[in-house]
Amino acid sequence: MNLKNVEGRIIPLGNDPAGNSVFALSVKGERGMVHRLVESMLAIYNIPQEEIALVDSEVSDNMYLMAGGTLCRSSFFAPVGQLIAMAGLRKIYERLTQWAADVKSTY
Amino acid sequence: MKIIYHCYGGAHSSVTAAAIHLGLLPMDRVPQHEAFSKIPLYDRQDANEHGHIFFLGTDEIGNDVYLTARRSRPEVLERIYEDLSGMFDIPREDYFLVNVMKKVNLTMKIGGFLSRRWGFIKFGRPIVTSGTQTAYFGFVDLVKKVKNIERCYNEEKEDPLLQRQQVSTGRPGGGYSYRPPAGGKAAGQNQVLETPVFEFKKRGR
Repeated sequence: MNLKNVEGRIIPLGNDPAGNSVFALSVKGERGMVHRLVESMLAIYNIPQEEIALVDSEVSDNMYLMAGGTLCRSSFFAPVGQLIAMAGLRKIYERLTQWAADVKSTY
Repeated sequence: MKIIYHCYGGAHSSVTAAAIHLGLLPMDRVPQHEAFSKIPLYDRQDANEHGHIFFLGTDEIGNDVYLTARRSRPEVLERIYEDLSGMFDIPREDYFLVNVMKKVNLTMKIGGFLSRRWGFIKFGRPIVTSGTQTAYFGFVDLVKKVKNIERCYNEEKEDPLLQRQQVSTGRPGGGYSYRPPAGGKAAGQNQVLETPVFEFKKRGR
């Protein structure tokens, strides 16, 4: 939440129990473009498409998350923004865990 | 080496630059309208293809020339490319991203918008082509710069003495470019022997 200017940056988060590396990628509204870009690059270098699975977050941001995210951009309002964003995360947490479990079972 | 020209929509400026690079368009004169329409992908790409990296050909040195659209986010393309190449051990020297947008004029933007965004190809295409003709030598200059870099890179690759990889000389200040001071004492040695940590302990804090 505190990271700035990371659109397009592939952020490593760790490994799951199955040994897959997990990354986060902010696409900032350019969802399709990023998918095509990654797929093209894999094709250019003859990297098997199975090496990377791009999973769209199906849980959309709620009003709290968006407001919190906006406030976090300002250094003065960042603490308040984080609190609001946390409240927003709590609201969608159940759906997020369900989605993560579905992804885990798929890959 | 893979040279990737990129612009907003991957339909005009990047296509023109890539075509100049491959010799599909001349470098010494501005081509006619018909010459542009003969180039593959000129004023063709739609929004649902943005991000796809198109292969246009191989140049005289043997480097592959590609083009892509990255909308108004060149940094997204650069970061994704950089991070993915890091993940798959692709050397940084293996690709070269060229932003062509700096050479695009207002006429090209208006014509491109009319043709690609609103679908008024009949009106938009002649406007964007005229704009491309106006900005043509800007693209030629850019391609010349890219080719120079490409040539330097190839020369470095062929000649081991000119390789980009820097070889450590073993001690700080011991490089070939280093000129020892008049006293004959090599600079930098004392700093290495006594790190700031030791200095901190000596002060007894």
